Amino acid sequence: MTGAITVKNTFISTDVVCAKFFGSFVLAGVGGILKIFSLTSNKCVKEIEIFKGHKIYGIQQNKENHILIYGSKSVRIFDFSDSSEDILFTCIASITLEDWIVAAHWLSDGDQIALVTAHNIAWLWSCRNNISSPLKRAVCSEKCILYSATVCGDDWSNCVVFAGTVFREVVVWLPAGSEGDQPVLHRLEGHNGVIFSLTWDWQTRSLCSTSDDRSVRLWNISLLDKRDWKSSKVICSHVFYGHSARVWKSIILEDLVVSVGEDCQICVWSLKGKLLQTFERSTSGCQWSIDYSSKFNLLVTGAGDGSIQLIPLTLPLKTQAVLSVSYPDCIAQSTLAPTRKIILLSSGCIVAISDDGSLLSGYPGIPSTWTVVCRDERFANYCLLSVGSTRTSFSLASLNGFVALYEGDSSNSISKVFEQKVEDGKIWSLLWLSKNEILVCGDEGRLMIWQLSQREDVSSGRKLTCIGKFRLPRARERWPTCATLVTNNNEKFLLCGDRCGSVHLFTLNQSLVEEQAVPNHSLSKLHGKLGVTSIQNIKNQVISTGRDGTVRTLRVNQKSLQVSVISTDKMPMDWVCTVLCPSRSMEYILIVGFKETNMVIWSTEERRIVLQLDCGGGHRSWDCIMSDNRSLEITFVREKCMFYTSQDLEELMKPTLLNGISPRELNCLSSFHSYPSALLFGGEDGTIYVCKFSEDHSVLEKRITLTSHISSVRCLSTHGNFFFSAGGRAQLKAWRFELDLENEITCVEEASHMLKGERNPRSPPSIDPEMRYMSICSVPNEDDNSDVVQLVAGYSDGALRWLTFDSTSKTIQVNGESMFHGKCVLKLFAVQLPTDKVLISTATDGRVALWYLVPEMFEASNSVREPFWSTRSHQSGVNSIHVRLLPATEGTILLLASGGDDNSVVLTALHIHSERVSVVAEWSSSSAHAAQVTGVWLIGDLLISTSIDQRLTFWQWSLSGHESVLIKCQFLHQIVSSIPDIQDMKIWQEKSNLHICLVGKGVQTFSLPFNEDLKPC
Amino acid sequence: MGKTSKDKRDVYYRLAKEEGWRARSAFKLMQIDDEFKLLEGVKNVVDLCAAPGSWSQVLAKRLHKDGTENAKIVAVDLQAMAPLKGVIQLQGDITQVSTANAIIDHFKGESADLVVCDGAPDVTGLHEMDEYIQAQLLLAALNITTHILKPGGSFLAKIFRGKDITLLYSQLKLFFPKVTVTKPLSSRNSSIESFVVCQDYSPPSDYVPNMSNPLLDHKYTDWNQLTGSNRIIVPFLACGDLSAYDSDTNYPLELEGREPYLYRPPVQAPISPPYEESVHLKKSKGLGKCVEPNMSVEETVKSVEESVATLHLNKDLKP
Ligand SMILES: C[S@@+](CC[C@H](N)C(=O)[O-])C[C@H]1O[C@@H](n2cnc3c(N)ncnc32)[C@H](O)[C@@H]1O
Repeated sequence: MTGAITVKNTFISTDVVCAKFFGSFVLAGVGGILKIFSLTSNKCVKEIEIFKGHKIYGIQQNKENHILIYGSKSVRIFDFSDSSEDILFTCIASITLEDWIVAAHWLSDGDQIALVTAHNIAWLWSCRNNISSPLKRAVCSEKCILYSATVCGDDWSNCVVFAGTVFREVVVWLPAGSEGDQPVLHRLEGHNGVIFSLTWDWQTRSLCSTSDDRSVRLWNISLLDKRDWKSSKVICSHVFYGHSARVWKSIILEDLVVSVGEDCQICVWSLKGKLLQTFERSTSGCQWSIDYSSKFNLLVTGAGDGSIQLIPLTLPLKTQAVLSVSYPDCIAQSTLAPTRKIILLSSGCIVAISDDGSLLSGYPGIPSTWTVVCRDERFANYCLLSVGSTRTSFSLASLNGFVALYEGDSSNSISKVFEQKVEDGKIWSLLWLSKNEILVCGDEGRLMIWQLSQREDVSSGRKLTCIGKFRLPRARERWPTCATLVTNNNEKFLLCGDRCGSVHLFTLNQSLVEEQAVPNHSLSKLHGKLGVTSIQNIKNQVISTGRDGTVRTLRVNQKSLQVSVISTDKMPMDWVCTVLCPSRSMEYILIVGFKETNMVIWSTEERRIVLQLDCGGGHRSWDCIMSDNRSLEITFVREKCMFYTSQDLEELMKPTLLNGISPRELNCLSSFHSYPSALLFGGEDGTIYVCKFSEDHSVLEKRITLTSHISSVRCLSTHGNFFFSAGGRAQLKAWRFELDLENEITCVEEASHMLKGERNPRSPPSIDPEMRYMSICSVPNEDDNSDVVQLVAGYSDGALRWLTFDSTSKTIQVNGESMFHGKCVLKLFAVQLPTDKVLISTATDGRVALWYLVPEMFEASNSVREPFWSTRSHQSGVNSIHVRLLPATEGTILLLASGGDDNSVVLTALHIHSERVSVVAEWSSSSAHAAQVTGVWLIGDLLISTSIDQRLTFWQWSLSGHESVLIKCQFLHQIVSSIPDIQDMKIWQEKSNLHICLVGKGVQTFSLPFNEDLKPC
Repeated sequence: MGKTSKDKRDVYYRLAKEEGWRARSAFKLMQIDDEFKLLEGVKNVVDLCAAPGSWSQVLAKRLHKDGTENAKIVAVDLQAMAPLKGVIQLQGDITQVSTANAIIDHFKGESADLVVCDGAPDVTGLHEMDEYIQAQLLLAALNITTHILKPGGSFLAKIFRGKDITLLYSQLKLFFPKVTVTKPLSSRNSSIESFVVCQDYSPPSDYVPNMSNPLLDHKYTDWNQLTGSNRIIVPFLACGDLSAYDSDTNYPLELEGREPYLYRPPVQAPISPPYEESVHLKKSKGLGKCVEPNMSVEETVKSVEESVATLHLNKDLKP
């Protein structure tokens, strides 16, 4: 590796603190990079690096299409021009101040700008000819630190500064006074904490402040004249409490205030302080920024997970706003009994059954179309009304075993197809499995699948034949609430969910019609004790929902005859009821559920609730379908009345402009040898994110989120197709990674283990449940396909433990431990030497230890293990290690790189030969990083290190000499990253490029050309 | 989670309660002092950002050895702090000039031997900004220090070792020939917090302390680059004796060589948080309701409770 290093930033995702509308574009800062999105294509059309290493905090435009971008102590001004081919973004001025900029404002001449900095100082600058000093500087007599400010006025002489302080006040002052410090004009008191943002609106003459105290305050300013601030009066007109954490920002619209906060919420308020709507973006974390476009009636937010989302500004639907469906008078008079159940057919008509056994149908909004199809005493007071998935056929089932099938055609004509008594007693449930198969449950959990003969058989008439008999296990409520058929390798299965939350699997075996088969496998209480609400087979994925508020993906294994849970997603609702899928395509699904009295619809694409409708709660009869013209049709019964609404999906949902990764810090990353573009990230939020880079590494797609850890995920390790994740609350999980033919990833949880025993919380707590896994590594194995994986884990109680994961029995076992470190263990690394396997472990006391990994460690728990070598190479915690093996005449040279809490990077060359170790050379530097070194990597002759100081340093190392070996390590290059709190780094080579991925509060990747032929170590 | 879980998670939290310290931070000052002997011979000391007061407790304990109050301890914080024997207390924002002047007034004709500052802002989660505000707290503390510290005196302050920390180092180096960054064992390995120990105060000969302008942090220059090999990085020294407890390690509740474990409540009730009112409202289901601006917490909560009650009434009245 010689010559200059050119490192390219290929990808970044981190907090988006600023996103703004600009005509039909959205401009957003991701770290120091400005991304421009077009609202016509909803794609990023341009990217420009504005600042190196620091974030973009604000974007302001003026009438001349000049765009001012500020962040930290810098301001840059650009000219924006948009031709049909390209967007030109030309820098016309750059200013650097000595203080942090908290506000920037264009004055009306289009050339001057007013800035406010963190020490309550206002500045006047001209952006013409890149002037190098300010035109004016004004200091307020109140000298203190500001968290926020805003300026208004069209000319410096009538500018007003609103300044948000630490001591709970908003200080108002005029910068254009006489010489000396400017007096304070008003002190706005009322907040109980730091003021995080201030927004001024001329139209309403109001100021909106947001604070640490979780409130938003609206202040009204009475001005006799636009320029006469001296005689102005301020009153606090309203205080809005609605956020459950700090409020970061707000905007004032004509008659609304929109605020965003740390609680993932976007709150929409009336100017009178009434909370009209909340949008919750729970998986995207802090909502840092908000802007509104009246042209598009859209909001745009930037969030802590790095996502940028468009949201149509809609208010929740009140029942009053929904069409109430009424019968024509003639029907209303004869049918006095209240409506019991309703369903929607694909033709758009509603079918209703009332308590007296009347079956009615008609179109919402057109009373004249309503007719009474029939009135049948047998279906009075008790009737199950169920509809098939194609929404053309439906059925009635009665208390004494009758089933009647109906069909509706495209016009509103309903005809009875067939009727049969299938049970002696009560039908407890009737579920449609396909166009012509139904599942009927009688007494004592007796289940029968009935097949309806095809229409063509007119001669013999249509009839039902039983094609399968099963029995549900004994339970309090022994009937299915949902069922689906699954075909797997030509074998057919029935999966059904019940009122007790369990899911049962049955094999459909033609020859066994006479016997009542018991489940082959049951997942007891999978959806909690309140019940499973739906189970569907959507494009080869079995998805179940339940009253535990979760959506789960299941898989049927036709060999072992078992159902397993592939993923679980907790929804922000009390109950999840069903899943809707837009016809055929699987780009997204909608999840329908209830939260308090609201029906809520959640979009998996936007990961937020896109519609809320107050319909009185989920116990009522309701139905919801997605119709072909991409609209959502909802009907429900409330207080004995029927209601209906149709909502255009286009109006409810908008694409995500930029996807995020994790709302919290990421602690670790890992990848698979066989599939390097897939990355695993483990986070503070307890989630594992399985992501994949696009071909050119510019897009990281989030494929799967695994959320079953109960606490943070601190470490990951891959082994063949398995991977292991561990972290807080002494929890460790084993997963299997699978790729299907279309390169779609699935991850299956194979085992979950907690040191004190997951299932038996009453066992004596010999091991502290507050203990954390700090690091885990698998022992390299020649035979990747072996059934047993050996693992070593390091813990916060100072122990190393030897574990095994048995992939056949799906169990994790602890075999033994060593308390050698005694202090919190930080990092582990296992390496295969020509003859031995060696483990390197580090701890918070700066110690590094080397161990031989011997098979006996992973057998019975027995003898005490000791490292064969150890030293204290750092003053305090060793946060990162990496190793490279070098051939030696005898034995091996192990080159060990380590990075510590003490800022230093250390290289140690160890000679290992037949159980003997000697340090042959050492090198260290503590001048490259100014904070904890949290990543080191050795590749080719490069040593790469990174740290919380956000620097990435490249060194070139060499070993020389024979008798006495010398390490030289030369500083080559350093760059700055935009990712705060870097916790881990991973480097891999693809073709002739080296890719470097850093994780912390966000993810950033760099690439550089790298030509050396590498032998994997 | 049980009430002992925090004791299990954090050995220093638990030790602080056992030894009567108001916060676990007490151990940080003690460990730093054990290493750097900052309190030796100190007569006058300022404790900036002192609430809830554990550093003041350590100062009082170590300086007022035989119960005599022969050292002057001035403690300042934004938050109110429960009284402490032998400690003069001021409440205010240390970045505000009026607070600074009030502190300086206490040292008319005298000088301080040591200034300590354990200040930490309300972190937003935007590291860059948090680091900046933290640096401004430190610079405000330094500015106050330049008015009262005697030549040769010491300054100890909390820093966030982040992206721009070298700018602070170069600043401190102007006033103190000896600057060391240290991290006591009682401060977590994973935390970005560290401390700078600045010794032998010797301001530039032409330096005139000035309260009317804030001290601003430095810019990146050729001799202190943004990136490269010319960055000002001060030496690091870990402190706390190796036998001391490590704050990242989980220890069993029964500690070797100590009395049997007994759960103890915190020494000091926590300071009421700024969001107290919001929490009250949430409890009374009043979030999202309109609130009158000029009411006290109690009044607001009461009025919301009433309006919620009427809501329920209306519901019941419906058929
Ligand atoms: C970590 S605590 C100090 C703990 C203290 N040393 C002890 O041992 O009890 C940080 C303190 O800094 C205070 N603080 C933050 N910003 C301040 C400011 N601008 N002026 C004064 N105090 C401030 C906070 O109120 C908080 O009490």
